[in-house]
Amino acid sequence: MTNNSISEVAQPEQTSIRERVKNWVTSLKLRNSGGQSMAVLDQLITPPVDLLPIPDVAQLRPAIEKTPGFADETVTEPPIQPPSPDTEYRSNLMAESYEIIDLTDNLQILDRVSSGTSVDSFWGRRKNTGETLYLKTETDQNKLKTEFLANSIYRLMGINVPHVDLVQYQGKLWTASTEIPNCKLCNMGKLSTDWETIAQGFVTDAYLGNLDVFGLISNANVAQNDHGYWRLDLGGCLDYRGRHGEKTFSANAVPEVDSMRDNQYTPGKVYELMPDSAIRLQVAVLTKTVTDDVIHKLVARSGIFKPDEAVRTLIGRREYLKQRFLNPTVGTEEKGEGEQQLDQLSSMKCFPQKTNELIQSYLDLYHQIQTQVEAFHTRLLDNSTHIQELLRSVQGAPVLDKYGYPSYYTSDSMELGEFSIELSDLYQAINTNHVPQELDCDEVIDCSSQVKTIYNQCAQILSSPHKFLVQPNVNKTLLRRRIEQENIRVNDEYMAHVTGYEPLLGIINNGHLMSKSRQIQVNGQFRATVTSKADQEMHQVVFDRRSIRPDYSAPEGVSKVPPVIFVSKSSIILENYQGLDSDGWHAFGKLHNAATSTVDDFDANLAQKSFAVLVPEEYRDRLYQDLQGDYANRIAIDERLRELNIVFIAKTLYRRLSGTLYSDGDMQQNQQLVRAIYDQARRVLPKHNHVRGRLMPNGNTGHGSATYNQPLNSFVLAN
Amino acid sequence: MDNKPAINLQEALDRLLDKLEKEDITISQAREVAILLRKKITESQIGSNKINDE
Repeated sequence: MTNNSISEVAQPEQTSIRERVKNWVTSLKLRNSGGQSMAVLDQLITPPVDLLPIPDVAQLRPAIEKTPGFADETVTEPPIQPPSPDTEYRSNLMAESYEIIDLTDNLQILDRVSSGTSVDSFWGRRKNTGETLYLKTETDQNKLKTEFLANSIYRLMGINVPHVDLVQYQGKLWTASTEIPNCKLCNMGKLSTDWETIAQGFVTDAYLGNLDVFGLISNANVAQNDHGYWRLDLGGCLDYRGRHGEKTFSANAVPEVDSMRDNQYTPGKVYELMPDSAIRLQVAVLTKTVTDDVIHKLVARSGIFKPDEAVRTLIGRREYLKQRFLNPTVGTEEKGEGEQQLDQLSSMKCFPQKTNELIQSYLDLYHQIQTQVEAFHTRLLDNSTHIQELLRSVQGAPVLDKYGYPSYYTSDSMELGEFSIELSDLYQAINTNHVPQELDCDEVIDCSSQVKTIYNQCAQILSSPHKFLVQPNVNKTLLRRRIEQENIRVNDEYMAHVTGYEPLLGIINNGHLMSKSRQIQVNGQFRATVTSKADQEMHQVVFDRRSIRPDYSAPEGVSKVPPVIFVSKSSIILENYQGLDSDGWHAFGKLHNAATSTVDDFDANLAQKSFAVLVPEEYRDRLYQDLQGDYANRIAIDERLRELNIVFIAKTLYRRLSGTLYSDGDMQQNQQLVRAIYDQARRVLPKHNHVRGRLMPNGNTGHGSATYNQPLNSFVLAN
Repeated sequence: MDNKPAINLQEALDRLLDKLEKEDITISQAREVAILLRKKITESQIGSNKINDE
């Protein structure tokens, strides 16, 4: 839960104030030990004014009101019109085939902008048409093609961008952009003021991952002329960063739709107030304009590397936006399916039993504090007339000390002082009982908001500036965004389970990855490779998230052998009864429930291709030999291996050049290895359904603990 | 005012200043405690155990 008290808003010159306070306290201590206690007491009662930077609520108010969702019952949403797609461009695009023209003999250089090893650019004039062009080339030609592709999508959507073409010049590939006449660059201040106009392109920016849309704060990538705003540099779209290198670009979700509204980052400084309702309208335009055939056409004409992957990514991202923002209930008060699921996930219903109990204990504590605050509030109301008199008496007191404080030697002020001490105790009680962020849920937000509201009423009566910022709607929105981000990560990342060669043979025969207990049921026995582990963890299969065990503990006597690696999307964990233990994520069957002693074993059918099975190359000959008795010929074996998504992986991925196996430490140090293995799996794994759920960090729970999570498959969204 | 005060006040202030130094309490809170101490003193209870109790 975020700590939103006004008193904790950052103060200017905090360090220097802190130092001054320290010096002041040291001098008081010296005087106190020197026997001047009464003088010290006076000093404490009337501290130097500059050490007490009490925040001015009136000053803070505009900042608070700017927070998204603040009092959204009364705030009317800004009128952001969706863009109007360029239908003429679209029909031309679909009709024509694209040809890259050579400008070598048809260009006059006007002004060289940069000339470097990786980027080269200049302004030139086409001799035949007189048109002024900005030409840019890069060592990474795919980046130019990506920019060209992104440019076409912006143009299709009817968002102002220079017309970019791919051209040949002196044997190299360049992007050539048309000049935007009479335009001037905008700074961030200008963009933030006129954000509602810029925001017409928000969904396209997010869809294309154009995090660099506003460039750096001092150097905006947006210019303005009589025709409106123009996005100038699209070099940071899709999987490229604006400056150098590549960025993570999800193929089945658009996390940018949230991150670009987060004002921690540059785009969020312009887009932070972008409401979901305006996004919905833009997504509707996007889904109608950027259709499958348009995507195929655009990708083909751009000539970018891995065109199939680009098509899959652009379709996957569009579908995500469609699924999240468009539903039959657009325009009505009802929430769409996706939002309803997020609501469910942000309530206590999705917590495992133990976590639920923990949250309940926090809620009980809040209720206790609430009782105290309410009692105090009643007392204040009962004495409100008297308190008003006291406040007037103190404020109107003619005796002010040299610091401008009212004299505290009157009985009125002392009586007030006692009230304020009680208020301060309540403030402390509320402020110190935070629920950890990962356990945040709607119930906690509601409960703490209630307590804080009553506290604020007390503070109001006593004219105290120490109040809490109560904004349940903002907190709930932020919570949903956090959960959504977690879902996107889980759907994009992979998990791995390792086993050895012997178990692999059994798995190939029956086509299932199963818990030990299920293996005993099916095969009549379970062959433990390590006897000490034989009777433990009978019902689950353990996965590593974002890592891989580089070796497998073989039967007694031989310490480590190359692992057979089962890779699946991390969402496999969300779909099953799950929990995090010291040695990894434990997945049971969907119906498993420790609380009700319902046992359900993990059992995945490999033929459904939810797994990629990576087998070390050095097992290949032995595997064919061992399987030949069970299958008619080598072709039949190949067919079976394909059916189960079994691929062989290079020796270098699990062995060093010296021949020894990599260790856990090596894998942690060298994430390239993990990535290479996951990449191998990604090529064989089909596109996985987008799944919604919450991974609860249960800590080291121990086997069979009731803190394992309830199955979240009820939240599974099938595409 | 600077006459030698009761030892209990000195001790109470010592503890208060310690807390302030460690940033366990804010100046406003220290000020509120100081107001209370002052009230006790004006009620002519200097040196009584009551001050120590604060």
